[in-house]
Amino acid sequence: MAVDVLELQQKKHWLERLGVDLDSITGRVLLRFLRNRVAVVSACVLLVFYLIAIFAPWIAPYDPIQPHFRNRLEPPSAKFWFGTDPMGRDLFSRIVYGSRVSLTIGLVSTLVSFLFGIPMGLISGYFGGWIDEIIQRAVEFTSAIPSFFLILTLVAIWGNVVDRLWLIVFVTGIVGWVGPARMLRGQVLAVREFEFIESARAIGCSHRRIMFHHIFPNAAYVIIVQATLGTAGAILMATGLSFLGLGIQPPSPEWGALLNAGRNYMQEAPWLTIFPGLLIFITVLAFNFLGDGLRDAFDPRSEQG
Amino acid sequence: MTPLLEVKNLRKLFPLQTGVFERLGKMRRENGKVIVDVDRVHAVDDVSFSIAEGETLALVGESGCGKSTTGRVILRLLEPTSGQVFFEGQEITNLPDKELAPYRRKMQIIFQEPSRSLNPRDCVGEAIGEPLMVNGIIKNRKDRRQRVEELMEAVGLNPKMYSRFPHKFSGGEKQRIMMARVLSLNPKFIVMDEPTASLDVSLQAQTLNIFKKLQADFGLTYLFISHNLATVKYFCDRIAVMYLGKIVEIGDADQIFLNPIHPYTKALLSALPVAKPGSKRNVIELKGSVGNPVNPKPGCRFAERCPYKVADICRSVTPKLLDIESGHQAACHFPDNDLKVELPEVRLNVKRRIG
Repeated sequence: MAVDVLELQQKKHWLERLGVDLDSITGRVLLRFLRNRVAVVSACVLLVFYLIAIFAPWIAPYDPIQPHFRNRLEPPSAKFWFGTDPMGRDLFSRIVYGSRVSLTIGLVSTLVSFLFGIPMGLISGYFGGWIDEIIQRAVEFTSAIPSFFLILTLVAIWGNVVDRLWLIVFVTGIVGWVGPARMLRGQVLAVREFEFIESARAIGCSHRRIMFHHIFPNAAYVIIVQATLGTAGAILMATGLSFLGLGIQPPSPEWGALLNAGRNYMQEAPWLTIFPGLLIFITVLAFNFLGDGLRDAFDPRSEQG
Repeated sequence: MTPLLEVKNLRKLFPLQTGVFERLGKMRRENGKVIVDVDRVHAVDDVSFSIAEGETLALVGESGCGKSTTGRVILRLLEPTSGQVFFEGQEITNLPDKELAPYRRKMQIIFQEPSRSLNPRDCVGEAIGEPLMVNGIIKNRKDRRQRVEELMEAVGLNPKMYSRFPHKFSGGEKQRIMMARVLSLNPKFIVMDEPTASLDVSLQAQTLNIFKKLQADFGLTYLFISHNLATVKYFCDRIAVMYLGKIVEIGDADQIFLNPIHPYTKALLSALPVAKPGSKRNVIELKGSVGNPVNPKPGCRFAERCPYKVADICRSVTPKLLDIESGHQAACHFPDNDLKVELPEVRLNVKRRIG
């Protein structure tokens, strides 16, 4: 316990030196988050992954597409960190480039779902009445659609006409609006009861100002949690589709597609499935841990001392 | 002279939430029309009063009697079900939002819970300056800072705290921040919704004194909502006692304290605490709890709990406010009831105005 207290003191000290007010909402949330080691490690892992995705051309040692048949199915070594595939391409380079696709799908589809979900949740919770009724029925309608099969169908119809990457991104995004919309609505209903909302009305604030200046910043934390969990879900969905051969098409590297391609060589080249699988696993797990950590950090009831 | 604010037959009914099937069951036909009888809470039921400029009217009653709702309906933070509110002679009950805006600026509100009435993410300067910016009174940040600092000084806050966030302040200070925020619009009328109820006793008096001083400095008129008669006596010129959505007695503070008529008023007064240990006196005890405000039956709302005799007329006819003396009205069928109130002696010669 003594070590814990010491560590807490140290963290408080760092934050104070960074100019964070420890009594403020942000300060307390930050401190609670920093005390959750798993969440902090997850955040760091994801940060590294995204940096790798951004700087892929500088990090990948080889070309991810160009075949080199002389190096077929090499096991992991100092030269080829994760080994090579049946066409002699360096798996590490393919995973590095593949992270661009997988992580982009996660991020952009979450962005798209928020673009729809945030205004819907805000309007639904703030105005209530028949507007709320309509939006909530729409939410129920959308959540009744199994999104995985919807995407399967759409890929089957339009898969060769439009870019599959963007098709997947937008369909997951559009179907995904219900999550943030529902969460945000619930929180808006709670924040709306505070007297500072009435006070804002009394001094003559417009509905737009009340929604975006007074309610949204005080309700947004549920969205942040939802964002991390939603991103994990989208990545899993995209890799799942590619694994079934319906997502991103080879030769462009994508984690699910890599996993699918390695399936046939599971006996003689297990590294072809182990590494992509491990990365999908780590990424999704990290997003989930991050989400849990954020949720606890934003929840004042989880405070211990 | 027209009063600053006049409320006529104000009503606010809240329909109880019911499901579709329940509503279908309550449907009936009348003269060929389909009517749904929805249960409704009569929060404010036929309330009338007026407040002269510079005056402070207290609205007292136990929780749930519709005091706060009355205050909110007057400002149209809630829409009235029926009745009229006149401000400076202009009826504001039916004004569309745009035409209401100039009146809103003149009528403001201070809430009970200061920790809930400030946005935790706005610093003091933003909170106090918001009304100025939103209403376009001040256009740039530099002017805002200057004006906000003036207001902070006016309510006794250190202008150096301009960029501090609400959680750094005590309840009393937050209430003063609210006051500064409200005063930035130069209002004429402020609804005070139990502004000191959640403060420490030591802070209550201090905060009330600040409100009094501001009333004189800014020429304000207050509607002071409270359940604390002692505070009210100290602070207000006139008192209106509410019970279950209706005003049962209204009059000058002295009239209410020295010559209470309605049994409910008498019961409230007799329950005032005495600052003398061991002193004995008769407290008029009320049995039961506040009645149900859903679809009340005709008759006196207080009949169930009345410590005086309850006659048939109490259960069948809703009593109207009757003139007792000039400016003093009570709604009781037996205004000459002989219920005795023993007021603590100290209270009888309380000075109404301080300073």
